[in-house]
Amino acid sequence: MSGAFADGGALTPEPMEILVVEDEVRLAQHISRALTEAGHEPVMVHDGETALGKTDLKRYDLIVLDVMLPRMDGFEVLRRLRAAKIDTRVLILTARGEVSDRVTGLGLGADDYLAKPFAMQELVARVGALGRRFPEEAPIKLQIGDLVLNLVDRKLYRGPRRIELSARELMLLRVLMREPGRIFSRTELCERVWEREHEYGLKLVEAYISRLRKKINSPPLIHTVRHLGYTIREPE
Amino acid sequence: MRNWPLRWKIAHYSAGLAVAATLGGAMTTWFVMRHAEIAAFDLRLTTDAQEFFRDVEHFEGGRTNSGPVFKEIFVPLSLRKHLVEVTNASGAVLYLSPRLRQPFPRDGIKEFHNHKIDGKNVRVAEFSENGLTLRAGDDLKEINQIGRDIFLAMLGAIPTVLLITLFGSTWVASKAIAPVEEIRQAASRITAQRLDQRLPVPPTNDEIAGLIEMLNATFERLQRSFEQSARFSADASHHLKTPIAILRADVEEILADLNCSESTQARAEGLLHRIHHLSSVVENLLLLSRADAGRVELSQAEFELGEVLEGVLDDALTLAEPLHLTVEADIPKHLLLKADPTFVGIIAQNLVENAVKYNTPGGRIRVEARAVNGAVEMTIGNTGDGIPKERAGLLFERFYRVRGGGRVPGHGLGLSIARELARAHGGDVELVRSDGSWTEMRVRLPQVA
Repeated sequence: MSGAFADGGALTPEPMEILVVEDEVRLAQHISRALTEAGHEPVMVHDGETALGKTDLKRYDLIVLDVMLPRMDGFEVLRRLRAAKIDTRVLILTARGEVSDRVTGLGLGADDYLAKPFAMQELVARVGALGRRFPEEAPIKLQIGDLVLNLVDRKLYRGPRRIELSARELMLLRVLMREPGRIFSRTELCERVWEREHEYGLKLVEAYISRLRKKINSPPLIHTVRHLGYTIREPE
Repeated sequence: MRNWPLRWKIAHYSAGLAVAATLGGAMTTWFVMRHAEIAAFDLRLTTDAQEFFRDVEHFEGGRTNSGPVFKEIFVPLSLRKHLVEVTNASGAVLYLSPRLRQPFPRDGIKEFHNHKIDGKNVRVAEFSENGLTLRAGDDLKEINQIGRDIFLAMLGAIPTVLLITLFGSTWVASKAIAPVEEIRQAASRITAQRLDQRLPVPPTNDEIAGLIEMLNATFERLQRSFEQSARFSADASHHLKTPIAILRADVEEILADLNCSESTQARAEGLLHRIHHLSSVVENLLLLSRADAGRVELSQAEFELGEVLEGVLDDALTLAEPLHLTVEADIPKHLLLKADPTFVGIIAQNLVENAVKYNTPGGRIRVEARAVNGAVEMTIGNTGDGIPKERAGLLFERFYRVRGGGRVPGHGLGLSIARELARAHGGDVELVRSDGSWTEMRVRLPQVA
């Protein structure tokens, strides 16, 4: 993955040593590449026993752990890690996506949870968030230049001017403003805004983006990156 | 009677049997008693006749030339209450007992036999000694008195027998069926969510215990196949989602690769969206298979329906604009619902999507909600061609689309998912109206699922 997705300056994290436990070698390689791109140092293993062997020898900053592993599943790995008093942060990857899985994972001491198939940028962003030494408090307002979104009363201001937003416009803008500079593909925006695939999702994303642009007015903050998607950033 | 409870049936059968048994007993008693009484009567009469002839024989100086002297006093008292006739050698009647109005007809038979006299069955015998002939007998009805009384008494007892057996066997049958009722109740508690439950096997070794063991074995097999299918969906999802995740990462790399040409990137973007669609199909199939296994997990929360519908209505309005559709919404404020907000959102999204999809340009969409008897009813109506009656039944079938082919997007799971999700909450989705101009779906969700 070359620079295109990574040029969001706000995303630059502290480099971390990350253990990637994923039995599908190809997916593990993708994850490692993406994490390397983001400035981390990933180490790949493909089963639970090897993972436990690695954590015995060395303390990692973060573990990306798949649930469905051959022989010993991810939950068991997590249980043994915690039993061995290893408190390294763990991001669980699962293909099942059931509520009870999420509850099991978090109950065993996982720090975050991502369902397959995920956008690689999403994984990188979650890893980045987990890597911060002090977990971020949920922000009360998001700001890009003179555009301020108050998350409590859901009011948007451009300078002194109050802008009314519809429900979906608000959801979309919130996704963009949380990670300024990151390029969101239209597909990813569809996934973020709707719980289930909307048949007219792409059409709707375009419509809402164009409405948001009109409302936010100039100088433009929402930019189209050809074939990649949209991003929000301060005017240069 | 076919629809009666089993215990009533058993009660009626046994009452019928008891009455038949009583009747049979009465008949037998009557028959046996008659036989015995007639034999006793014959013996008594023979003895009396012998006594009579002995008295005649032993009467002092009683003998004349013409034969023995007859005196009425010779006829034993016990004999007089019967029908008795005494004649001499020349056939002249010497004595007739009071009940006998005329002499016996002469039939020449000596032994006991039955003879019809004055329309009555009379048992009669003839004894002769020393020129005197004694004919004695009686009405069979008189002889068979006790047998007949017992017979009548037993007939009279039938209503009592009937009542006692009817109530008694209802009680007995209830007691006998009680374990069956217990089985029914215990079995009704075993649902898809609680298939691991078993019926308690009683320590007895009777038919009920056998039945319970058989049922438990059936539940065992059912549970195994349920678990198998649930495990299959989990496994299938893993085996589908992981390759999709790899595919997605592949495509995302192409998208991010600045060395790729624009046309390649444009194609990669299209692919990415198809992958999104593919994973949605997998997600929906999983949801349906969980619904089939009764294992939809609800994360319940209390929320206002209006808040969940905001986004869905926003989408409808946005999509309506280029199609010149009018969207009307009547959602009361503070309509509270305790349910899974995500799933309620999906139900609404699927139905509103259809309302847009099957609409006609310049048409109308109306979304309404209200509280009705502890439930929230949401109706989504749209103008359009309507669903042909013969197809309305297929509407909620999986992968069914009213208009075939590529004209309308989607994969035909929306309605069945909406229905399954509503049902998981204890509600439902129904088609309430569809004629040429207006189609209306109704969602019912209990306010507390």
